[in-house]
Amino acid sequence: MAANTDAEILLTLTDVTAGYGAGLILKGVDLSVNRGESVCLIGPNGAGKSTVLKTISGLLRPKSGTVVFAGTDISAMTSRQRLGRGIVHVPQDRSLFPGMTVWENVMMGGFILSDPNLVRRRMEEVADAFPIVAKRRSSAAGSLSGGEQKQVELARSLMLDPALILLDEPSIGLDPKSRTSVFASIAGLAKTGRSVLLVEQNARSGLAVAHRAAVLEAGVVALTGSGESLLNDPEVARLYLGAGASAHAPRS
Amino acid sequence: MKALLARVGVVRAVAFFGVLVIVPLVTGQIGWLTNALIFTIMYAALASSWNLVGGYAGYPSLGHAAFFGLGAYSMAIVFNGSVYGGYLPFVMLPLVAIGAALISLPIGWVAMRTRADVFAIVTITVLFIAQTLAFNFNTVTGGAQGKSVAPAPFDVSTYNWPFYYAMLTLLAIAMGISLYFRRSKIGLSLATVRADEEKAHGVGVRVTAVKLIAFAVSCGIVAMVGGVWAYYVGFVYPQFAVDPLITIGMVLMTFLGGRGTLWGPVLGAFILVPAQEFFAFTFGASQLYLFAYAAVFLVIMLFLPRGILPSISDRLRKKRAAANGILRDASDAASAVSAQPAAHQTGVTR
Repeated sequence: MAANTDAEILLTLTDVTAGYGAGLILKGVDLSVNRGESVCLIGPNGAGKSTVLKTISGLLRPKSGTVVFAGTDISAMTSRQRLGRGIVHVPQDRSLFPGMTVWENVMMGGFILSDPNLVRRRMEEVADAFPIVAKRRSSAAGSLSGGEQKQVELARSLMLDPALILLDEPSIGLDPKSRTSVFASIAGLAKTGRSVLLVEQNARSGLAVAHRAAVLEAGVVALTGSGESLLNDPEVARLYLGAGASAHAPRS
Repeated sequence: MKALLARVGVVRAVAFFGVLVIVPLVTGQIGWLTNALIFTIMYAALASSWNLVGGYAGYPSLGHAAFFGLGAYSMAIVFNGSVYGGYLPFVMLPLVAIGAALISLPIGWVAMRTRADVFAIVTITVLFIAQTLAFNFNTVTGGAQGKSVAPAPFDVSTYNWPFYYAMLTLLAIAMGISLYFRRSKIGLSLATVRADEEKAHGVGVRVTAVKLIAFAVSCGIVAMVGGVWAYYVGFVYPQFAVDPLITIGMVLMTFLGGRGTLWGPVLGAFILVPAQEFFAFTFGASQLYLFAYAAVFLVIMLFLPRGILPSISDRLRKKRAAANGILRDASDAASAVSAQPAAHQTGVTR
């Protein structure tokens, strides 16, 4: 996919530091996402990828630096306020309520909306876009397979008609077939004009659906470029795409 | 379907409260019956209130008897000398509720930062602090000597009736609030809090606020029940007003009938309180009745481990699912049979 060079900036992180307790995970992250752009964040375990998403969605407050969304500094806002502004976070762990039905779970995506007609309309739109929602509407969410649950999570994220969707390792724990269908859905989300910030260990699939990508190492952005250019970068390929693994494999 | 269920619910509620409203009118002078019903309804109201926090929010408070005692002492302190015609204590109950709810807010704010077993320990500590205060704050509570409420100037033949209807009103309030919680965003929020607070935050639920609302409302109703109890029994002693057994009663009845359900706590109270009375009467002062009481609880929990109502609805759901499954299996088998020749034609063996 081609990079979206002249687009309006939707999200900017400037010199953001954040962490849990006294320790810092993010040590000065600079990152931006344009409107309608998909950005993939890759990096080794512990680099702070999920922490970046939590800092944007408000589950974690930055210790310093600023998070600016659509021209407003949202660094001090609660996660609910950020939801209201159109930032939706789909976390790495299964985030559905297992005891509730699929339909109720999707409805929970519009929890902060006060107009029931709007909720109903969005439910219909979401059910059209994600057939699993209509098909399994009365099933307990916990009874769905991992891939189906992820589809429902993606469907739920659309209930607020968000401008920015934060996806934390959506393919984790999924079989190859479910993974393919989840990435197809992510590519579909990007086509609707929403911005997507995707964290993905499965770097090759993540970079393939992204306009742009960034490599996070030890809490700072070490490298940025188009998804395509990073896919072709020999250093990135060696570190994150599994290239050269055979060269280092022990001889039998 | 939804409308039909709602209608069934209304009919059930009207029948239940209708019967309870006319019981004193029909049974007339049978004092022991209204007396026994007052305590049964009292525990039904307590268990329904506890259910708001322990059931819907999933926070098993063991400190609710502190608020029962708070309501009881409020009544004894204010109406120690006179009850001004007899009905003023009932009229003052909403103030008792507001006072208890306000006191419960900071307690809940601190306690609800913990979860599950730690929350239970923190709240039982609140109970023992309240009991210690009741024993030692002599000038206000009368200490171990207790404090009396002035006797009610009601007609002897219908003396129990005002207390009976007051308790019944409090049960209706507790169940009404339960129903409101279930049908409103508060109930939905509490369900998500019970399931997973992190996830609840993620969809925009005001987790702390909704937990505190449930805790404060629950404590407020429990305090009103304590107020009516104090007025009825006429004397408030620390060991009975702030009694861990009151908390345990609420918890047991809610678990027995079904935690997080509308009718479960009521059902639990209407089984356990009469059972306790009956066994105490049968076995006398030997304390043997406690074995029988425990046996009832154990037997029900053994056969209906999630409580009566949830276990029954689970079984019904499984039966329905099994029936659907049989139909589905039959249709799957039919399609498998029809697919068989095609599989053979391609030479594929499955």
